[in-house]
Amino acid sequence: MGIEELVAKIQQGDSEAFGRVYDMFAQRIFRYVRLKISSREEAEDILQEVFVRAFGSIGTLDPKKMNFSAWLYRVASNTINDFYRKKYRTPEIVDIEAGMQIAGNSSPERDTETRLSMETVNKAIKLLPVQYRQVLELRFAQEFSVAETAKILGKTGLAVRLIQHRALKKLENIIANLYD
Amino acid sequence: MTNKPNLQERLPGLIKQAGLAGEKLPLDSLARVRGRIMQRLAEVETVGDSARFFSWRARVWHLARYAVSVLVGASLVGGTAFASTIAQPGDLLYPIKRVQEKALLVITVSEQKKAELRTHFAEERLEELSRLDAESGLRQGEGKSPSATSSPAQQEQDKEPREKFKAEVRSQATVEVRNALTELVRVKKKLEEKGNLKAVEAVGRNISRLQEGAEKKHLDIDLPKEGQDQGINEGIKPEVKAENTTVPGFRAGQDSPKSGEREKESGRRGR
Repeated sequence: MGIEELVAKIQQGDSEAFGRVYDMFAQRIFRYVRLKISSREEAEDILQEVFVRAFGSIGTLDPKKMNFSAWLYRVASNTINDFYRKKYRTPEIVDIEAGMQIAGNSSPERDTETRLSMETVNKAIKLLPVQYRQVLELRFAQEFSVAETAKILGKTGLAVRLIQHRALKKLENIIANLYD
Repeated sequence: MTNKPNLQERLPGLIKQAGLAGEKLPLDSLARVRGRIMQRLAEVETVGDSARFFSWRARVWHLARYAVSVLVGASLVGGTAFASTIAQPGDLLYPIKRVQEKALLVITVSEQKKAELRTHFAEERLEELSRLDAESGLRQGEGKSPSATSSPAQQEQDKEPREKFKAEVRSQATVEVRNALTELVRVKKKLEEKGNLKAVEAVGRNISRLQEGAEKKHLDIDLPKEGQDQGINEGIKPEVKAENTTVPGFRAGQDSPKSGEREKESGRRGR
């Protein structure tokens, strides 16, 4: 059964369909939440909140305007931001770029032969600012379009493209420096 | 110049792989979160009701229910609206009060809240019955002395419509208390299945309160005995006898010996 069919069933009150959707998306949403939430326990609470909110507002979803997956990530983004507003009274977390020291003489092009392990890539991604991580996760891990990513994050398409470009550039530099 | 893809070209694929190999929530945590979600949804509304609420059909239904409440509210303005809520059986506005109650039940989505509403209305019926009993007591207390203008026969004649009216109110109270208890038992069972102990306790208190009220009024609440429902009848003593009267709502065989005579009289009067 496709996701559209499941969503239609949920809107008709099918709790089993809701359970199946949860099974399909819980891990992905959890990983997305963890990009910004360092505490595992808090991430679980937020995951719970995301799905409760999603169920409560699924009637507002217009599949023609936004696919369910992107919509769910949007709910997750809003839930995370609300959590931060309540907890830290600030809408955005601190940009960790200020703490990073990237050597200036590295060249992204020279590392094409490097055998990159997943561990290295993960390590490098974690060193990126949260906003960069979110865009890379949504664009490449979840394969959302620029427009969908923009809707999820509440940004313009231009902003997403810019962040993506900077994120990839920075990730290259980090990986290159990890092999210095 | 190498033809191999440079790092930047490989990054999207690497990011995707890293995502798939990334941190995962253990299965027991997944199940725990799932359970908590379902519990929270059950607490607020039943799952079905909530989801139906947001489908387009449910939006229309919700609008219809809202319209009912607006129409009922619009027909009662200012003091009238308030007056209807305190109206008693026999008052001009009493039928409007009953309509308002029915409208409230229609627009209430949650099964638990609907059961609570039924409890409230059932208690309202018991309260109305109490007031009626108190009024009857006052009338009897005031008494008609032998020197009063009306004859004993006339007094007996006047008494009958009141008794009949009181019996009708009593019958209505019996029906509403029985319906409320049936609904409460059903909701309690559903909440027990969902493991919502707090809500189960609240519903249990409503059941006890209604049982006590029915017992005080000696109402014949004869719910079907099921395995889980036996608790319902614990508070109602089967040996409690209804008052002697011929009117509906009371168990057959407990009518007074004179009841047959009264029925004959009313038949003669062509009522």
